[in-house]
Amino acid sequence: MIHPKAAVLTACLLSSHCLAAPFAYVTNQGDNTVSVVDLARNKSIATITVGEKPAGVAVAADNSRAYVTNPVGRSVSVIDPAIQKVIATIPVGSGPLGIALHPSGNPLLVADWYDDKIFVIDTARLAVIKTFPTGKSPSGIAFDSKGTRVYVTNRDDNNLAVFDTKNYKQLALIATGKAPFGVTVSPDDKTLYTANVQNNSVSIIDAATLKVTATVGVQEFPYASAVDPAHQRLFVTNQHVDTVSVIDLKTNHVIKTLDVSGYPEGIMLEPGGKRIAVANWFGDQLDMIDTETLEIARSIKTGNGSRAFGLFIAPR
Amino acid sequence: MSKILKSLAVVLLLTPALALAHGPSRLKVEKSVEVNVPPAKAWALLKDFCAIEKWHPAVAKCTGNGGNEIGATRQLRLNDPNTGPTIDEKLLKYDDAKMSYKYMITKVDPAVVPVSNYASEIHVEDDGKGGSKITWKGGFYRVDQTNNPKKGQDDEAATGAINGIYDGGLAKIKTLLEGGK
Repeated sequence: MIHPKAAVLTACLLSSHCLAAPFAYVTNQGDNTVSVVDLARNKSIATITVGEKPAGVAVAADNSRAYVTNPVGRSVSVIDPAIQKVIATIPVGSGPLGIALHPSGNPLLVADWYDDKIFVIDTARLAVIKTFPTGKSPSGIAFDSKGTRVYVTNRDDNNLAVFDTKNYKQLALIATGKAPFGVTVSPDDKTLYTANVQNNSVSIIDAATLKVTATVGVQEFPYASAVDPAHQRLFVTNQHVDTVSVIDLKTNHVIKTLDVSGYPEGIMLEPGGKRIAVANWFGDQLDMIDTETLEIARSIKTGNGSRAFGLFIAPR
Repeated sequence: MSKILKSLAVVLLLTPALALAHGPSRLKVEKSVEVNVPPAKAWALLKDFCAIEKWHPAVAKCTGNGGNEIGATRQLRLNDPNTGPTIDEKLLKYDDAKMSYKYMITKVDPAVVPVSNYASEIHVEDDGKGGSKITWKGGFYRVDQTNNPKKGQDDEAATGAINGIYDGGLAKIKTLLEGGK
């Protein structure tokens, strides 16, 4: 009998969607849908109905599965990209929001904003197998590239929790700026970045010492960030002023502030590194920022209230 | 009692009780009006941060600090210029060429406007027919962000209030611009 994970992987390798140019899975909170955007053709190619008020998204690196949180529906929708359909809906907690997938594809972790805990979901069985407590209003959640650690922002405790993934033991709590939301792990796992919504800053944290090494001012209500390792820059979405701040990580200074379409939120580097994709909740589109020129190269229409909170592009 | 607050009260009374609880989703309102005057004339009425005293029926007085500079503030007094409830706001973005500005509420009594984390943009554009289109849009959350919000502090109350405020403002803008020819 083929192990379920191997079966998924095999099916994936035999299908074009795993080998083709990257796809962005953009949650549209106003439409209760996910837009599937082909980033090579720069257009939305499918719209998938998910649960109520979708927000968070985690796509497997090989594009075999996409998982979406529905904070109002209190569930996680499981999408099979090969058929572009929801194949399962898992009831999770009271307000599932942040979501992250272990680099191996299993397990899936979901931060519950109301229950103040993390749900651990076995992606082969599509069931919650465990929960563990964290601080108040957990929002952003991210694994390191090896899946040995998971980081969670506790928005209403103003700190970042660090957990070991063996037994989900808490290793540290690091004070950040006020109301940390998105957390980003650098591709080399050495640095963590939190977007601090209520004091308009980004906390830069050394992952080895677990200490804040710098705090950089951005603009009003920052949401999330993305690293461009080739140019050593961090891009941060500022929701209330419709801008993206570009920070030079060699100096920790903002070198440019770009106008985007409206209430920018989820942000991620496209595989290949040529563009940064920004989801806009009021603009209802992805703004694609050229990483060389630091200008918007093009915009791609998505749905109503696009958020894309998490790692939303694959394969990568 | 102003028409705006009256319509607010009506909205709150008519809101049916909902069994569903809601999660932390942001709310969106976008309204616009087309006016039969060139965009420059429409922008001239709206461009100053404290001009809202002229064009919104519920605003009896606006006290500004900093003009139209980024970070400027204004305090609106509703209904009565001396004793009415206040809303404190801050200017976030200003573009004279694009004829738009963006601001946020920094302080308001939830009993007066039942919203939190509110940011908004007003802008004027050419409607392509010789006139102007004025758009007012905002993003905000309800006041009660628990999983079972109280009536009057839920999504319906927030959306109803902002809809009423935008409708009232845009209607008066149209009257002011088209009325005196």
